[in-house]
Amino acid sequence: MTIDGTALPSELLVTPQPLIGFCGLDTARNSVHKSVWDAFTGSLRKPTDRERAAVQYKQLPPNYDFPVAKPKRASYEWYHPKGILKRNWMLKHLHVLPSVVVLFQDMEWNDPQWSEKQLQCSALVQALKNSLQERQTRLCLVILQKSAPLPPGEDLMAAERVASLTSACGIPSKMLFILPHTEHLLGYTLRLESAFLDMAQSYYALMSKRIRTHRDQLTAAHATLKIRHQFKLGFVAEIRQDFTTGQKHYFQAYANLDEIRLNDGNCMEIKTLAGFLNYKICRLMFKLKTPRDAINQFIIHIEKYKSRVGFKDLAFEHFAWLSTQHSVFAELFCEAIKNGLPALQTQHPGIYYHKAAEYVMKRREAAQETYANATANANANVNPNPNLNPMSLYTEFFGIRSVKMGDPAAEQQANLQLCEQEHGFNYSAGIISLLSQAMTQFKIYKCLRFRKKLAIDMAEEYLKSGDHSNALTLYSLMLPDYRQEKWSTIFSDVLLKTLRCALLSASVADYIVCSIEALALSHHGDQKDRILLLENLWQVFQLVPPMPQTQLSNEIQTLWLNSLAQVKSPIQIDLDKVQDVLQLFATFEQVQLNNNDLVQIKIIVRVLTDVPLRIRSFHVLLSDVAQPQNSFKLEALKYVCFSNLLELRQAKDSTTIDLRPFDKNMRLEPNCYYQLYCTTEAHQFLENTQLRIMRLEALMGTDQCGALLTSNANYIRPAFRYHTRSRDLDDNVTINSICYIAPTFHLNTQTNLGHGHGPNTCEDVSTTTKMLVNEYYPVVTTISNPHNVYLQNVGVHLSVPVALRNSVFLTTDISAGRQKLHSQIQIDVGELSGQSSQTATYYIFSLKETEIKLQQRLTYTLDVDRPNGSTNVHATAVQVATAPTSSDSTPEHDNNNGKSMAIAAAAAAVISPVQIEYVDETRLRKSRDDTLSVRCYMDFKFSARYYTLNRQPLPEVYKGENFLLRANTEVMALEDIEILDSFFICDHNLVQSNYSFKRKKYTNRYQTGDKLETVIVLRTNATLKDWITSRDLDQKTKKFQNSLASKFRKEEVDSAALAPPTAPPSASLSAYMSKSGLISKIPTTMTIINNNTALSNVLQAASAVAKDEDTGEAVASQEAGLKSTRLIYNKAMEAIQATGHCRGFIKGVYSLEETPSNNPIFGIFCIRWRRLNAKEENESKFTLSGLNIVEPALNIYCTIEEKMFVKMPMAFKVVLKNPTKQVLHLIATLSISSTDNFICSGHKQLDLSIMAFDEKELVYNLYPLHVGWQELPTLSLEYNTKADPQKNDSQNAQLEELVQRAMPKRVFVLPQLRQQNKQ
Amino acid sequence: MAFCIAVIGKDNAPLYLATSDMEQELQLQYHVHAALDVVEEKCLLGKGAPESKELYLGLLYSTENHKIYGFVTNSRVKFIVVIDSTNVALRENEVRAIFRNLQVLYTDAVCNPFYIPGESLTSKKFDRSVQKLMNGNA
Repeated sequence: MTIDGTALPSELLVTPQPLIGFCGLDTARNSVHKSVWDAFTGSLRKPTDRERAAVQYKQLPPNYDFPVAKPKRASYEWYHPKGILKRNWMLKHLHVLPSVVVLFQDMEWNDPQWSEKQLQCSALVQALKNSLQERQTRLCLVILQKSAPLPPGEDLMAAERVASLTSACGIPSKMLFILPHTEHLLGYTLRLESAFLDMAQSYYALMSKRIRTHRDQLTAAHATLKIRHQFKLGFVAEIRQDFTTGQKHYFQAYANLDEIRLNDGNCMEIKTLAGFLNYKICRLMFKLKTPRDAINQFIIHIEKYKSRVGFKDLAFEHFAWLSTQHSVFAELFCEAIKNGLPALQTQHPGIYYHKAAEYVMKRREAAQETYANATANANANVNPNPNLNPMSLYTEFFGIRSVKMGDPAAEQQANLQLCEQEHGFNYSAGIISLLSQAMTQFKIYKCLRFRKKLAIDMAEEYLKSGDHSNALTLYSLMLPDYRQEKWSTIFSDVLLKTLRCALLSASVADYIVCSIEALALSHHGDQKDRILLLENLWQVFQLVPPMPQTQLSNEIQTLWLNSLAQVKSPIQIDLDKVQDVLQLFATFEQVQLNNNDLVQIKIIVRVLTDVPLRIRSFHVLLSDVAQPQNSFKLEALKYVCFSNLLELRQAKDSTTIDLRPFDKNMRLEPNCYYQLYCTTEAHQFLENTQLRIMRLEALMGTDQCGALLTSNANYIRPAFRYHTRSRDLDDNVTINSICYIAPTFHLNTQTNLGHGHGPNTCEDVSTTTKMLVNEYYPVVTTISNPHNVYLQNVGVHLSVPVALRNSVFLTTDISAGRQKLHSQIQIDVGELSGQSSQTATYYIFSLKETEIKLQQRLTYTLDVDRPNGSTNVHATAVQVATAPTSSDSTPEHDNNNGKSMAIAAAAAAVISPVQIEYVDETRLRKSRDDTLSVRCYMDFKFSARYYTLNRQPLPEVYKGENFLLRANTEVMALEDIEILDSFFICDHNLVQSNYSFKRKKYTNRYQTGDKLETVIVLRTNATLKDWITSRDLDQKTKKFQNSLASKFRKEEVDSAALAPPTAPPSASLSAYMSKSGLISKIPTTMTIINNNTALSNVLQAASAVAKDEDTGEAVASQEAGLKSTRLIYNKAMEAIQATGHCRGFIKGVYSLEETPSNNPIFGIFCIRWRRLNAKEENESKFTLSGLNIVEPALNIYCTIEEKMFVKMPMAFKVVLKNPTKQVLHLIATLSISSTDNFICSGHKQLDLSIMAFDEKELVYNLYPLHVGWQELPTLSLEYNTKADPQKNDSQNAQLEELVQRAMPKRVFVLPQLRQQNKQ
Repeated sequence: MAFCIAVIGKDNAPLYLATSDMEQELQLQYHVHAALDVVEEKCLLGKGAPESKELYLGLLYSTENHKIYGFVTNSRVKFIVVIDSTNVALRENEVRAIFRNLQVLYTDAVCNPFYIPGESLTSKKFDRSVQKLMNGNA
């Protein structure tokens, strides 16, 4: 039995339901009865069936004692009950006194022993009636039958027996029910139940009426009875499921409580009742969906009774009551939430649980106070009877003790007894369970900080209850949160409590961690405290239990000794979390290192608290960025101490720092900056990696027990700076958290461009020759190995950028006949032993004036011992490298290096020109990409134009007539050159002859801007469509081979209607090959390249100088799938399929233009040149595109002697040739100009008839009379319209045009030669 | 008038805390700290309509003895004021006024070029003014 007020009775907490008692059911033995019982009580009910009314069934034993009704008082005027509410009243109506008693009997209508049974039944009914005297309890009879009843009115026997039974039992016939236990049992029971419920309702209605009549008899003096009746009315209404009425009555009762004057004696009773009523009110309010009202009611209730303590000695009782009120309300609230009530962050059950817990704490406080007083008094006075039964205070009323009112001694005795009883209460368990309930609620409603506070309270409670380890767990869980939010006051409170818990539970690790953290200045306390902490800490480090201010009990001492014996050292402490004790930073001295350098790391340490710390050792953990699993641990060995940051900064500049060796357990003074140094050799690490400082470690303590303070090395810049420079560390020290280990490349290259360099001469770049178009430009690369390392497979790979692949080529060999051109070349140097060098020579050839950037890639392999990624500090050296990383002579290389350094400094991704790959475990391949840039300049500027013989611009070429080609060349080369030769190789279908008969001689030396001109006379004998191509020639050659060219000429005439006078039969070709002057003119070998093997066979047979078929040919690019092979000809004659004197078919057409024009190519102008004083000869070639060729109606050839002298007759011959198939009838007229400068003889006018393909000659003799430029007589031609009437004037005009074009107009007459001859 | 006035940074670390009763300081700090739960929740709810954002959060929660009011500046600095819940005379308007004054004081203190944002407020002038405000005669 608990004290009233600490808990609510269970009968109050359940929902009241009508009670219905069943008699005569023998469920143990009779299966039918059992099934009937189950049908009513719900074992057979479906769980979803919510239709059933809230009813409580109770089986009554055969001789059940119903509580006897008390006699009615006539008057209540003088009746004063001893209490408000009897303890048993609710129980009686809930569980003992049924509203309806149902008697079950097995009876069949056709039972042969009907009368006996009827008698038996009526006896039972009578017995029940007797025992229910004075009660309004309803009695009804249920007859269990096997078969379903017939419809009413049909079963006469049944009707008759019903009548007899009811009369025998003395019950109304409507109180008789028949329950056939067929398969529809459940349906019947449902109907029966509603009938029972009706009866119960009427019973309870009657009951409340009776209570109301009682109440009406009361006077104002009957305050307690009024409350009792109101409570009863409310309770009955609640049974009747009439909640609003119930709430109304309860509320009335609650209001009536105010009428009773409170004193210490009745305080408990009033509060108990108020608690009951409040509970009921709130419960119904929640049920009626008015949660706000419920909360308000509760708050008002608490406000009202909070101050009503009652007996001072029993203050704990008051707090217990308050706690119960809160916890019960919280449960109600929870229940309501479960039924769908939404709660808020600021209004949820957790708050009430928390309050309940708080009141339990207050209860404990009060109880302890009282107990202390009581025991103090008890020692002085009488000892309280220890054998006092707690039941002795029990009365039949709620909240009333069996103490005589107004007897102080008895009251004190009772109070003492209660105190004694209270003393045994386990407060902590109650508080902790309430707090944990509150915590779950607070968590649900997102009050995490509040929850933390509760956890702290809970931990405190554990601490109080002596459960130190639980307290420690809770505290240490809460520590990080408060630490993170930087609530230092709260945090230090929690921390000190944690420290205390750790001390009491002898948890070494926690003790050390907390001690170190508590050293921070942010935790309030004196330096004394910190010194004490430190002393204790060192005691623990030396495996001695700490000695706090209060001496430890023996128990805890042994606990400490045990746990110290099995301590796991070292204990890790994360300094990133434990702030303000020790500050650690680390920085690399250099951002970039070479493989053979020393890695130097500075650690800057500062003690932030005001007590000195001893640190055993400092370590730095390094790791490779690419392979973070490789980590290296370095120990700091030297140190310097600075008293402030400014000194530290100054020390950076000064070179003389006296480094002191770091000895173990060195004492670090507070507020000093210690700079520690770690060094190691870089070659232990892989090349081309970034080293990162992973972690800093400081070890405190002894060998047996120590604390490892670890700190993340990332320095985080504060978002805002101090206004003084001396506060922020990174203002004074540069912090490099990454160090790049640059790879060592063992090769140096030196590139010499241009001519005039021996492989061993080193000259300034500026003096080298400039590259020209159409030149094989030599490049000499000296690859040297300045290191003492043996390198294998050294190679240089060069490639032309894709954009220039069609116009820039590379070759390694320019000896005659070996000039293969490539887009990329690989020069294998082979092996290079230490301190040696090799040269590689190659040539660049460009067709374009442009900037050429060649990709140069150096590769080599070397044998290494690969550093294993262990933490072994003194790993063996990878290679002995004495010189720094290669530096290159060309500016591009330097640029690249500089760039890579800058990138490494920026701590970006590792971008290095050096690539390292492992061939296998012991062999390393390194390669470096560089760019080599060469500017290519123009050699010549070339232009060509066509003219008529009259030096008029030629719009189109006339078949069979000469015309002029005027080729202008301007030297563009920046350096002096020699032009050896220039010639024009014309197409096979053209015939060339020199304009002037003397051979052009070149002076030896040409400079930029020098101009040359060449004039060549050309003629073609076929129109464009009749041009012979090289294919035609091949066919002809083959035919010639087959049939010895017997029919050749004829066919040729037939097909082309013109036999080219120099058409090349095979014989002439081979003859040409062997003895033509061209061979002597072009000193190198010349080969006709053709894929036609037949022809080449012929050629090889014919010519002894023929070489490999692919000599001089280069596949310009290795792009597969490109159908047209691109050919570059080293010697211009090879560009053509030579057919005659500087003639041939142009084979590989290279053109820099995107779209070649439709015009035919008339030939190639070729200039052979060389640099001044150089041996290599080069050829520049310019392709000439031609003009359209037309066939004139008449060819006119005019011949005049080369030199004319005055008074010397000369012949003026005009040949007219008919190129058509028709006969031409012409009239030729020679008209001498008006001034008599010539005497002329010959036909002045002549009728001509020229046969097809025939020609006629007109010959005149001219006798010049004057010296100087003289107009020649003009010849005019017109068609003889008489002989050929088809011709008309327009054709005559055309003819006139032809004549105008072909005939010379003037002639220069020289003076007489006679005098000169005489001299 | 007010038990406690607290200025809390945007990362929920306290920037300034003044209490009238030193004995209760720890308890009050716990209260203020717990009030941040409610502040966070209210700020979360207010995210929907930033234009109509009300800086004054009103009563955060109340206990038997204390009423705790909250205020959030636009830079997410929180002001918490703990007021005696028995003091019925204090109206909501007056609480608002306290917050307005506090904001002005805070802005002045933060505008000091030597103040480093995020550090706790150690300005004596600010402290004096807040003490005055706490005693109700600002």
